[in-house]
Amino acid sequence: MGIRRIDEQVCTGCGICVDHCAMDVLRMNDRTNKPVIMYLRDCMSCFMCERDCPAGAIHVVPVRERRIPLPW
Amino acid sequence: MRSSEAETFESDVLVIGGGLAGAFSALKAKEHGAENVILVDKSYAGKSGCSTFAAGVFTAFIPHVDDFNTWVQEIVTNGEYMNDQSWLEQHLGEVFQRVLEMDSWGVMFQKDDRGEFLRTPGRGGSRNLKFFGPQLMEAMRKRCKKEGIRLVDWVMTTGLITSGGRVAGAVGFHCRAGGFKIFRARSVVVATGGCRFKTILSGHRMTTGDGHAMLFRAGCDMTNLEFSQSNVAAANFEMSGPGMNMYQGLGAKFLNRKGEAFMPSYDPILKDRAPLRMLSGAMAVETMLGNNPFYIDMTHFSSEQVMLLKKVLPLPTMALERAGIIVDNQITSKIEWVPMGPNWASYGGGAKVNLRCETNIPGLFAAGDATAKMAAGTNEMGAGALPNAAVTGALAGRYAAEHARTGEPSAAVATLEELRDMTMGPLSRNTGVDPEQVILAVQETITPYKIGMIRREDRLKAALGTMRDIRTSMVPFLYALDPHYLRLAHEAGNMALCAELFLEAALLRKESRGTGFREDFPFRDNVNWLKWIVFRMSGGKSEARTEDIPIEKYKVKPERTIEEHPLASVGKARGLKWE
Repeated sequence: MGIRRIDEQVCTGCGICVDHCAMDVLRMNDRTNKPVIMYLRDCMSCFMCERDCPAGAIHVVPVRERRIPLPW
Repeated sequence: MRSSEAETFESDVLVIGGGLAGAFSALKAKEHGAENVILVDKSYAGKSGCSTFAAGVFTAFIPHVDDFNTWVQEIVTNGEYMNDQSWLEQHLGEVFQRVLEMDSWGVMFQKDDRGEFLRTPGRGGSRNLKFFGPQLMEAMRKRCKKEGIRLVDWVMTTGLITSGGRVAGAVGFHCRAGGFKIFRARSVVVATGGCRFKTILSGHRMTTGDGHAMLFRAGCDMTNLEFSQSNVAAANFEMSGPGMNMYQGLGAKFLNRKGEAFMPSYDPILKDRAPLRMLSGAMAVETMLGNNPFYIDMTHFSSEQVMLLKKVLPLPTMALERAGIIVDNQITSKIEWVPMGPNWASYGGGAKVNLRCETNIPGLFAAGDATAKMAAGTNEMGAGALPNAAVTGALAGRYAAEHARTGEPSAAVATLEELRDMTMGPLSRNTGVDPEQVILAVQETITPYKIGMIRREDRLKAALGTMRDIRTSMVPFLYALDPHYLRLAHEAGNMALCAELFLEAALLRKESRGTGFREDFPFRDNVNWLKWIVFRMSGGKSEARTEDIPIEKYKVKPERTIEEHPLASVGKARGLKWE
């Protein structure tokens, strides 16, 4: 299901993932100053957050979560 | 919030969309004298759009190396004569300059030991430059910032402001904070990409025809809407973006259910390197024969080839490693592969623009996949989306700056309440239709292969009836829980409009061309159908007309014959009885 985990032990709260997610899946939790997965179903498993996280805190799996009709 | 209290942005040139076309538009507008240039994106410019997830390949005609007439011949033949050849000649004349600019701005292209650009074969016989995935747009965003372009992220534009028949700006809302926004500008460039209908191609699900909808509603001519770009992707998991140029270029094979390599039957010359429209068309015909599912087989790639894939396609290969398919730089299994539903990107429908990227509305320009890809015809010029974005972006920016300098000041706009209500409406409803419902309804209507790929009048009419019901009974009642869902609601509504236009156009073309194989008109008609179909909204309804392609003026002309489409003949040869 796309973005699976943000490891809060490793996350520095830099916010790059929240900025870079094209599908607006992530937001900054203003109490913890760490990102939260707020809109999971819009995650398209593009891996950009995992790639761009400087701390290596994010883990994405390429599982399609939203039902998408296929041509056959 | 009343529109008079909304945050208002003023600029000489407004560029909507922060992909490669938008970035080039903004940079060239600045270069050509526009002092205030705003680039607005509904996500973070440089991390969104098809440009960000592009497949690492860029086809560029290199003037001192390549033969101009050979390239024109090849591209027009692949484009099935639907190309605007004046546009194509301009494109070929401009594209290498854009490459040199990108190179100088920090976009990394693969080069050989002497520092020359390295090119290797892609699909459809093309030769591509290679770049390193997301690095391209990262460099372009940096350049925009350096040149003083004002980047406005997380604002989705929902409508163009027109006054006295010319463009005056746009409206939108902040996708996170939710406020209504107004942009006033002398020139507007719509560079919002194509419409992928949130289909299986991961990485492209933000591309929902937002600009197409705005352009159409503003009264722009739209064309090539019946031509769909048919990329193919993993059926059962997310592979983060396209990559077919690389996969085909390195020698991927396509197999059907029986383990048979079927492509040589459909394209005896290019075989597994066939253009996408032949590959997906072949899969559709094979499905009618009961030979689905299909697989891409890259298990024979060497480790060097897999390592090249990792450099040029970092995101898809991360997905493959995470899925356990790439292990120790080997692709260990074949992958079930399926075409996307109909969609527009890299070729296919969009705004009709002249050689200056002007639409028919003064001050309104379009660039990239938001245009009808005038030079491409029914094919993608082999990795031609980004080159088209760069060339059209640069031209649109230049002429937008010129218009902003010399055009009359925009008339004051009395009220924007209607645009505000259209923009913010879904947030104000307590009950309504879930955007997910509309998204699924659109996808379920157009995706079945017997709608978009093997077309027939009765099925198209039924699908169009369903889309009209969606437009009247669902779209006006879309509701949104918060600004994130407001964006989803608008995306859903824009997808619905694009789907309806696609089906209308598909019905009108009574022959087979591009990805549009007509079962009831299974021939390519170069006698009656060397035409473009153009749509324009007039009095609230869409009106269609045809325009003859001025083929006699062009260098490359087809035989004026009507010939059975290869999908029909190969289907018959493989045992299919067409009804």
